[in-house]
Amino acid sequence: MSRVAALLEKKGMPVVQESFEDPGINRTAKQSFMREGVPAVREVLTPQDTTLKALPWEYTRKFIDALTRPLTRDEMASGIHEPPRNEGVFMTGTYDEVQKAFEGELVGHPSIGPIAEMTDGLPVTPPTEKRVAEMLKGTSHDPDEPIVFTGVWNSAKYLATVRKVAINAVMAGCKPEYLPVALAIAEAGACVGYPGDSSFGHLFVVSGPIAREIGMNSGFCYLAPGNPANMTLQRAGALIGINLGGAIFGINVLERTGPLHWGTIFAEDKNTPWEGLNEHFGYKPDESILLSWEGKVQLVPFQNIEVKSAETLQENQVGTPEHAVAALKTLTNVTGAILSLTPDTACIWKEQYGFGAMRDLQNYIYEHVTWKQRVWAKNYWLHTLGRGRQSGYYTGTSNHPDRLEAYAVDTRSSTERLARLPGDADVPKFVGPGAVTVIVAGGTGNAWSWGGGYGRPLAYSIDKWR
Amino acid sequence: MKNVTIPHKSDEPMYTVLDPRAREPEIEFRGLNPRLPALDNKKIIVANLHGGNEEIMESIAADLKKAVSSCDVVYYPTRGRWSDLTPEDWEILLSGDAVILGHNY
Repeated sequence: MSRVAALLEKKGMPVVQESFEDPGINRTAKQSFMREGVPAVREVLTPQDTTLKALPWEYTRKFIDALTRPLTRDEMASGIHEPPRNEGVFMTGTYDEVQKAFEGELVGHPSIGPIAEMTDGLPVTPPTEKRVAEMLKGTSHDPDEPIVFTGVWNSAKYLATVRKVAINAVMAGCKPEYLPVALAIAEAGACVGYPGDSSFGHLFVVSGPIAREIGMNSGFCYLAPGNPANMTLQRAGALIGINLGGAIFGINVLERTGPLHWGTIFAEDKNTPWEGLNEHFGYKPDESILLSWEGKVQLVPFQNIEVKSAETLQENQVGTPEHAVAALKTLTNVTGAILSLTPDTACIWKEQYGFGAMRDLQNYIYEHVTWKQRVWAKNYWLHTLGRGRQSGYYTGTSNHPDRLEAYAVDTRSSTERLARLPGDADVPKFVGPGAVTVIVAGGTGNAWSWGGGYGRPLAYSIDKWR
Repeated sequence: MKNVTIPHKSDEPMYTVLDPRAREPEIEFRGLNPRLPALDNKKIIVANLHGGNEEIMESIAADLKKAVSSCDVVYYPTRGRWSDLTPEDWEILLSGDAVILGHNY
């Protein structure tokens, strides 16, 4: 919205923006105004109360004042804004002094207490020139090569380089051989955050040989602590989001409860009975890729939230496609599904239920996870919030112009078709079979996990960063 | 924060660390357009960009009309949302003398 206000001013229109009175929201708006080159856009700040039907009369006076009060000298000023360059040495000090300096002034939103400026709140490995040089041996790329952020906040236009990613990877505790994955995470936009929602996050999955080369966990406890590659790469994603993507929790990352995943990363197991996700996303079996979900994304571990009662031991452990359908039917605000099966469970599902190819399981889930048209038609998220126009492509496709077809909304899910159906018709919850992502991961034995996200994840080559 | 060197007070190892932050590009900025001398006989577009409390922007328009009866206040719920506006939205937003925009969120 702030961008629209600034663009209107640029087009010659006097503008006043209405916005909630909140230090985080207001600072975010001012950042946006500056980015758009109109830093002084006038605002009228209103109470954070979504039950109000009208504002008190004093606010009408404020709007009139903002439209008519003559401009100050500062509001008329033009010029060049020169942000700090943030290059070279940051400081010299003891370990504790380094930690304190990276924590910064610890100014956060009033509701959340102090927030570190350049860390995730935990101590970091000091990024000395020597350590960063060692880290840069993990890639053949020029340290000064720019990294193009394609994440949610790509309009932020932060200028980063391979060296800056290496600095943050050192801080996170990564080893040099992890750097290509960290660079792919950076290219994917890292954990840049979102300016105002309750549970948006970031989830990454690695498919291909590099997972084994660097010792990533794809088996038991793949969502738990302990594996150095998984844990430090997750942390690298968070630090890259903070330092290279400009994320400031409680200021421009204003998630009212926070996400389930903030850079969670694990590997696909090599013992999949189907094609690997690298092949599924159009790469070769010996190529390594990073799959990236951003926005609404959740993967609920097995046996944490079950929604269909199991009647036998096998059902309890292996689940059935019906169990998966029942679980996925509980999702209402996402356009895609995530289904994670252990290798053993995947084999059983393939053999017992005839899912000879991953595509068969995707089609099954797409066709059976439905809701009534009347519910679809009244969903606030889909319609009022603008997520309901399901046509064309359903996720960012700029990094795969040659693979647009994989991101096309299935015609059966198009808004045009669904809007014409009767209220009691069963209509698909997801935007297409391709928006059902099947991951094979987990320890020996049977288990499955489920969740949802925005359509189909984007795939990024890791090998290009070797 | 400026680059700083903190004097050390012990024999602990010293670390010279690199700056982990990216930088933003230089931005050429401009001032605001002149405000209106008064709202009488002016056309004010009150635009609802959606995604929040849907009723508030409409109430702002109604209150403005009550406050300045000669003002042509147009409440306009945009077809697009947030920053994703349609060409028609832009045409209407640029058709008045000033704009109030928001979505009460």
